[in-house]
Amino acid sequence: MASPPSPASSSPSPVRTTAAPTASVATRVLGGLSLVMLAVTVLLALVITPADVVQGEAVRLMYAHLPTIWVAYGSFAAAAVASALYLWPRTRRRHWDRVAGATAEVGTVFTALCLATGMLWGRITWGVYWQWDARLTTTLLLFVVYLGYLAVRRLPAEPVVRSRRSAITALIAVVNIVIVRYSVDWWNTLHQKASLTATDPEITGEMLGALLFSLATFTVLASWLIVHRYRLIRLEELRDEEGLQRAITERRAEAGLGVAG
Amino acid sequence: MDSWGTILLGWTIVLVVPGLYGAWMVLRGRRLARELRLGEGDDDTGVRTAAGGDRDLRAEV
Repeated sequence: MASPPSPASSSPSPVRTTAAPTASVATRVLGGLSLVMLAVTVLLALVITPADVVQGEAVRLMYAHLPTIWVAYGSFAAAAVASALYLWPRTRRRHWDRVAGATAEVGTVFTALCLATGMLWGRITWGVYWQWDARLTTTLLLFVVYLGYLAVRRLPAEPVVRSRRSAITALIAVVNIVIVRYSVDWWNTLHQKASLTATDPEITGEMLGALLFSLATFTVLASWLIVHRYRLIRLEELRDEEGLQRAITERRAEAGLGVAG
Repeated sequence: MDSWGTILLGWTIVLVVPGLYGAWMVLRGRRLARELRLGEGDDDTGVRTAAGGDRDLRAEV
């Protein structure tokens, strides 16, 4: 129902938005599916699949480690695409900026998880938590670069300026994915080369099946997180806009300005 | 720490961290939504802001 315009404002009054929490039927479905798939994944990884011939039980961390970097790569690629769509004049909408922000943040969290699980896996197989080899170093660099991207998103600026800066940063940062991916081929590294390729996977049988299921599981989990993060960004924008509108309204009221008509 | 202890630690991290992150977002979303809803209606200056155009942000994703 329309209300009379605010007498303290000569410009159209702000349209209020009913703010709903980030949860919905869709997120509950995604969340429930994530929980079920995670339970199955843990069962497969820790109980059902056999130990590796070379690595023994340590291979069970593979089902957590590989999906985390898979999610990180996918998230950063999505952030880059969304950023490009934001920068392109015909598709410029704040929606794409929010998508970039949400996906990049989730990707950064999963990169941290990849580093953590990788260090633990390395402790068992190599005897050390860390080596400054190409794969580990470039992955750490990837993490730091995206922390920088998240910092750029928080720099005080006009929303349009901040979004544009963030979009350009995301397009530069995404190049790191290529460097990380091919680091094991370009340099001599302690880290093993890709064992999961489309044409000749080194992992077969139930281990391959469990790994692929794990990839699907973490993709669903990441989707749940991204939807929540996107909606949270939107709520934060609404809060900032409301705060600004209130401040303007109060200042105009104090100054006795803006009698309608 | 033996290998099974390390394996379980890794899996615990991978399950707990996203869970806490998701829980934080849900709780923060509820708080922000409550703050924004509480702001509806007359403000302290007696000026009533417009209350049209309800939009559910969940429909935007």
